Amino acid sequence: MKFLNLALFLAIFSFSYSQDPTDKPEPAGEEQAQASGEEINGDAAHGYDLFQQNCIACHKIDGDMVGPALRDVVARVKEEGGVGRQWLHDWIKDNNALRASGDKYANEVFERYNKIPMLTFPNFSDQDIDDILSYTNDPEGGEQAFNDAKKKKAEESAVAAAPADSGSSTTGIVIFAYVVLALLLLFTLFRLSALKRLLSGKTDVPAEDKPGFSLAQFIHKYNKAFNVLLGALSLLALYGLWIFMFGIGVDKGYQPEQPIYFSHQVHAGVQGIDCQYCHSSAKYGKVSGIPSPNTCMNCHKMIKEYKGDYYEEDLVKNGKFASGDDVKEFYTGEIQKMYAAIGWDPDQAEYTGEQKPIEWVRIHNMPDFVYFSHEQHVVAGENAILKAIKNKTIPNSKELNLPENSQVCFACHGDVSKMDEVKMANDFTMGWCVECHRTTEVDMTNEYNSQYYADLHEKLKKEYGDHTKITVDAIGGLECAKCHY
Amino acid sequence: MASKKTYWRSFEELENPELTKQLAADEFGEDLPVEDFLANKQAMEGVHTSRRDFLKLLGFSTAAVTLAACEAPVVKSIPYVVKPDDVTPGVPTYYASTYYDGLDYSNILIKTREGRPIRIKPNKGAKYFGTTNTRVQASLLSLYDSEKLKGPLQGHDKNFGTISWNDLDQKVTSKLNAVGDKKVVLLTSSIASPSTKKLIDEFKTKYPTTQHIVFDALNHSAALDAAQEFYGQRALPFYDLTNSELVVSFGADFLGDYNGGGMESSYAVARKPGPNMLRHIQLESNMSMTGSNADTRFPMKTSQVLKTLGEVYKGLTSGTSDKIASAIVDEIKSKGNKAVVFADGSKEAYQVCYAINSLIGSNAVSKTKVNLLKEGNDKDFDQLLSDAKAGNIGALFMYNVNPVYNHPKSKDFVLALTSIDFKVAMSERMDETAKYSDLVATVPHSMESWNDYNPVTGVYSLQQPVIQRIFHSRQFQDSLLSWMGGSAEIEAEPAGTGGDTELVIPKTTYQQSITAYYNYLKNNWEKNILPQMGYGFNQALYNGYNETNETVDLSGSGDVSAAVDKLSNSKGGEWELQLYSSVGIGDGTQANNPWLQEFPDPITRTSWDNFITLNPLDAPKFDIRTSENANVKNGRMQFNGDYVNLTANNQTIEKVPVFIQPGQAVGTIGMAIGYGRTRSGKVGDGVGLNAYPLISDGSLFVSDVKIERSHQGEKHEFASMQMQNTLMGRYEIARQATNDQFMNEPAEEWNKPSVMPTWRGKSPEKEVDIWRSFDRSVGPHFNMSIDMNACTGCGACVVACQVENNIPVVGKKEMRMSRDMYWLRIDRYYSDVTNNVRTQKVALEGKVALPEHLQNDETALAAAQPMTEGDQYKLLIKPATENPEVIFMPMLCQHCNHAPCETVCPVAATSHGRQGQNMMAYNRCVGTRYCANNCPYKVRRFNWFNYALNDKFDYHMNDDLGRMVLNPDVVVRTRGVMEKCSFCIQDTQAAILKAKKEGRRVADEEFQDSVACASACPTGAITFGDINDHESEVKKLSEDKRVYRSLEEVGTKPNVFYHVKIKNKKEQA
Repeated sequence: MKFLNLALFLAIFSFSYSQDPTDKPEPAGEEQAQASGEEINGDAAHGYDLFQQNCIACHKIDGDMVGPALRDVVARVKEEGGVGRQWLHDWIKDNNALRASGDKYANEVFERYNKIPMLTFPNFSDQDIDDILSYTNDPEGGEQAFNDAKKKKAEESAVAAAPADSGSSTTGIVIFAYVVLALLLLFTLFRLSALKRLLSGKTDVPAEDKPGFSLAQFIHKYNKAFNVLLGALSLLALYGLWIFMFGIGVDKGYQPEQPIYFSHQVHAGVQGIDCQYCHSSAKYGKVSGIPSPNTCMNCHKMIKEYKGDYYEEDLVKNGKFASGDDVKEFYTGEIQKMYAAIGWDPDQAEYTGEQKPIEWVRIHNMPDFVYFSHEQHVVAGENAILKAIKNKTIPNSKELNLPENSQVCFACHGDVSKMDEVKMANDFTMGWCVECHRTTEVDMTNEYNSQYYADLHEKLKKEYGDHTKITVDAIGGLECAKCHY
Repeated sequence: MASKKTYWRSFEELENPELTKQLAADEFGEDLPVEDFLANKQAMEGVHTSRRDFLKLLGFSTAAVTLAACEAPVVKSIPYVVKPDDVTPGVPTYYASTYYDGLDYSNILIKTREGRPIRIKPNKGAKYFGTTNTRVQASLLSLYDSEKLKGPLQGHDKNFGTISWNDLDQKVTSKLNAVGDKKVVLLTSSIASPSTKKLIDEFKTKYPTTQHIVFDALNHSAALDAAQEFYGQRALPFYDLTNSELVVSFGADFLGDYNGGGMESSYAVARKPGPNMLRHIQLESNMSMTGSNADTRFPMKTSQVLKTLGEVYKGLTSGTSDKIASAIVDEIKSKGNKAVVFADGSKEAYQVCYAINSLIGSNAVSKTKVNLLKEGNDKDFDQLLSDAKAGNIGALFMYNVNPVYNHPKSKDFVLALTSIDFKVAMSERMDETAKYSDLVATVPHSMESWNDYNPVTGVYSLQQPVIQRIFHSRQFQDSLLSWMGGSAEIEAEPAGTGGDTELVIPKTTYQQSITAYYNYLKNNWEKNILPQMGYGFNQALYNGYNETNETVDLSGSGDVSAAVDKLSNSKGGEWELQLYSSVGIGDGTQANNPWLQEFPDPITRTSWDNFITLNPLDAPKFDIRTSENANVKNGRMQFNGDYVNLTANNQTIEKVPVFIQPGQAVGTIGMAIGYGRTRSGKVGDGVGLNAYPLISDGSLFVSDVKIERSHQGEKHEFASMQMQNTLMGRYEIARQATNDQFMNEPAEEWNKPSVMPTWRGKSPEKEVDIWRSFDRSVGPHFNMSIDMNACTGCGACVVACQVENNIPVVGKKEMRMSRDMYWLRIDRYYSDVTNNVRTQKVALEGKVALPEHLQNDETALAAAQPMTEGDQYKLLIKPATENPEVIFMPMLCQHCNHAPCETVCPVAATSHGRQGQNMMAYNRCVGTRYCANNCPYKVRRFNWFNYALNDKFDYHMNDDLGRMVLNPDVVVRTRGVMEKCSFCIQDTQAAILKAKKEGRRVADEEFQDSVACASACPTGAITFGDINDHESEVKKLSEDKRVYRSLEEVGTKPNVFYHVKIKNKKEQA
């Protein structure tokens, strides 16, 4: 009976292990609402958009940053320098030229803000600049108008993205079936044991006198069937054990809670930052490197709070947060944690000198005896892997379902741009590595490969036929000591 | 090849022909005593474990292990808060620097990973001293020694407590200001640093009673005094053997520590076989590493060596009747200025050596450069002792010296210390001397310090810290600056250096004080040294090694007639002792370094020990029977030794083990200094015996010693390498020929290709194969060339391999069980021609083997029994024990294309790669050891224990600091797996990856430099590369006529090939 329970447990266990939670449908992240320009006053909503894209690195609406605060800037320049809209247009388009022309007020402003020259924006149309200026006249209104337009757009596209969500329902059915099966088995077991108890209660009665039910006889009678059943159960148990053992050390789906809720979807997905901007060691060495907070500060010196549209709807759905705004506020709070680590006071805009390293939880742990080099794969093998992603020859490609323009990292790590907290997307077993090495074609445009392996293709053709391709294993990609030393 | 030759590894093996058989029978360890046990009824009944218990335990432990494996641990990963610019995780950074510890000097490159040094490589850009020896390679582990002092200490009656740097400085300065007329003595080892010397001069100006005394454990005072008298300047001559054709060494270990070392690379260049090959004649008493490389070696008493030196001088100037001397004189005369003479032993020997070189105008002696590494002066030290006695010393500062341990007058020095009431030790550890001090101003390792050196005229090198200060230490120069109250020379550090000024952490006083010398040094360079070079400090630092056009004039010549007379009249005693610094331990400074303790001596092959060496012919005089010395019980043939008491210089050392050493001159004994430390740390303490007290008059030669057999019945256990297993009669493993043969005879004569009898008759080995030949036509294919002629046996490669590949130290006990873990060893073979006429005659006459002094004694001869076969054998080999030839053969995995190990592995853990490497997947290995049994080269090592994290192997790998030395690119093997040389696949793969990233072929130099042994070899004996690259060095070397493959007849097709050793002498080898 214990055996049966174990087998059942293992069966359910292994099933739940092999099942993959399907990704939730993404809210359509369409940005940049197009607003038609007005002729005279400018469109504050479009101005807001332009401001967000071009100005916030140095300017705030309220309070000086690198450059001056911009609320009511039109009125202010009029008051201070006696200049108007045309001066502002000249300044924004090319402040260097304006200063060079000897404009007194322009040079005064330059002096006042630590002689840091403002970027030039020669590609702004007059309309664009008017839009920005009208936004600075009414920042709140501009933002509101922008958001309204965007919401509208999002609602429209949400209708198109409605279907799907079938994956989890099939999981539900299967689990339900299992539960029913388990209940049925338990019921049978209960009945059997009740019968047995009944029998043992009457052991004083000689068996031959008793016309009633005898388990021994019953078993004897259906001897063959019982043997078959036993055999099947033990096979099932062995299979379960097999699956269980192979699952040891395989942590696919591992998604630990991190000390800072860093959303890869926001950074790599919405913002489209290249993986190797932060994980810069990947192209130089064996480890990809966890970016140190000073890398974060390249952007977050300016970006103090989360103002994006995207938020994780699941967090609202599962009741962790009441609304999207709460989630965004939560995101903003996480930025502050990073500030605390590097010792940055966002209000005073200076370093305090008190540093505290961040203890991230490592997701991908290679054993000591495995030597995996990121640079080998993301630089030397980049073309080969990108091609393999495109041709869907990477292992597990159906499940990963990578977009055409994937970054090279996605081949192993999955589509990180769609993960908020990163989770392990693959098995990371040797079999999985080997599978990819067997199917991925070597990039023969690389001079190293083409020079050392010039004759290899002819050789392989002779041995295995004309359609043979030079895959990684043909140049020694399966040799033990290439990864184990 | 020369079939008249016999090769053997130890005297015992040669003496007892039965031994080889016995060893072969026992080769694979002991049998389990199963039958004994089962037959013993009592023992059987005494056992209470039932089969059921056993099964229960087995079941439980299996289940427990399985369950424990299920839970994946949570691993934290902590990035830098602010990533340093020059650190990229996983990418090594190299720094050019210098290593100097008072003994060894090297220009080096330090490989660091994530801010910690993990390898020392020679700086090949350096013209001089651009090589590393064993001790420099191993010094890395001394950096990570957790037993070093953690900060400054103050002591009272040998009890020490902590003190802050501020308090220490206050105590020192108040003492210095109150010292009055009394002397302030700075006792240091040789400094060789221009900035430090300048600083010391400033210190002297500030405290005018200061005297700077230099004392080196390995004393060069006699050589310097001789130079003062002969050349008129107190500096060693600078030698370069590149263009020499004859070197005659009178007891000088010039491939070792003679004259500051560093001569092996020019020696190897000059030793290239051919018409201009350097000929090497060595006269010595001990079998030294240098002597073992000689073409002609005269073993003789040191007194005799000195006498011969005198006779050679006479022969060159007037005439000599001495046979050996006149032969040498003839050779020197025929080579003229292409000859050079080295001598060691006394001031007179040096003087005469300088005189001969000047007489013949030797081109090996630089006329414009001198060696500035050694500055020791015995007279000053003696004065210190008498000043102390007279109470004239107010304060004593000791830096990098340990006279209580390593000065022959140690007892006098201890007395002197007790009479000085203010002693400051500037030491890395609480050593023998520091424990007598009042204050310890802890100094850091050289890899944590700034310094500069001027080793040779016109050469300036820089030493830079490559790791953040590990402990709360402060370098000697910073301390001096603090006590001087700073120097006017130092320019204030400009505010706001460095890029992101906002992120700079404010410095504490301590941190400021440890950058003071850096500023001082930089300033000194900018003012005084850099103008001669024409570039800036950063460029000089990047180079590490810099040259100027400075010269000196070394043309002086003194009168040496008195010295010659003294040499000619040198008197020896019945027993003479020659002390020496061993290749591994040197003067004992790095005694707590387990890599060096375990490093097997090139000649004796022993580790973790010192002893006296004695010729086999002398052994019977002390009733020491050599045949009993081999411990052959377990098939490992580890030696046992008898004990003697040794008296010299009014000092007696008791219970000195005796090691029987062929080639040791009769009537002499040798003993290594540097052992017998008592306060070096847990590794070095109590290893061997301290021989320093035997030194008299500053010379390592002791003319009269007394030896008495003692501790009868007790045996000393030696632990040596290479003695395990047998050669199975394959004596042609190491080949040699003479230079005449090399030049005049066809290669088939002296480098016979092995042949294999086939049905067609005899075919060359290359053509016979039962396997499908390995296809190596595409991609790179690695080969290694080892030139046995260039290999001096120094062992720098052995330690380099150990560092690079995380090879554990196993300790003496395990060494004795032949469980050493070296992936690369240097096998030492003795050889000689056995057809010596004299002994043959005696043997044929059927007389018994009598000791030499009895051979003309008629009564003894008459009473003697006729010889047995064994006696005849013994006698025949007798001359060989007097002076055998030595061959060093670096042995590592041969990466056979048809590897015997690969075919027998039941789990396919070892396999062959397309690039020619025989690969070992540790995680796949289940430890059957079939591969080791099937390996004809015995290069596979079985990992018996978890050496890391195991407190039973207390050799730094079991503590966090010690583990910092581990190479993160190579896995630390666990117990139960087989391991071996991988051709440094981590580095060859890195070179390939670099080329792949840049889309190009790999340059030959990149491959050559990627294996640890080849890059560390000071003589260029090891070359590594791609044999498929037709331009590569290794391809060219593979076509040389000296090439042969080890045990080619076995058919393994190795990817390592050797070059026949060439001896530059006339007679048939």
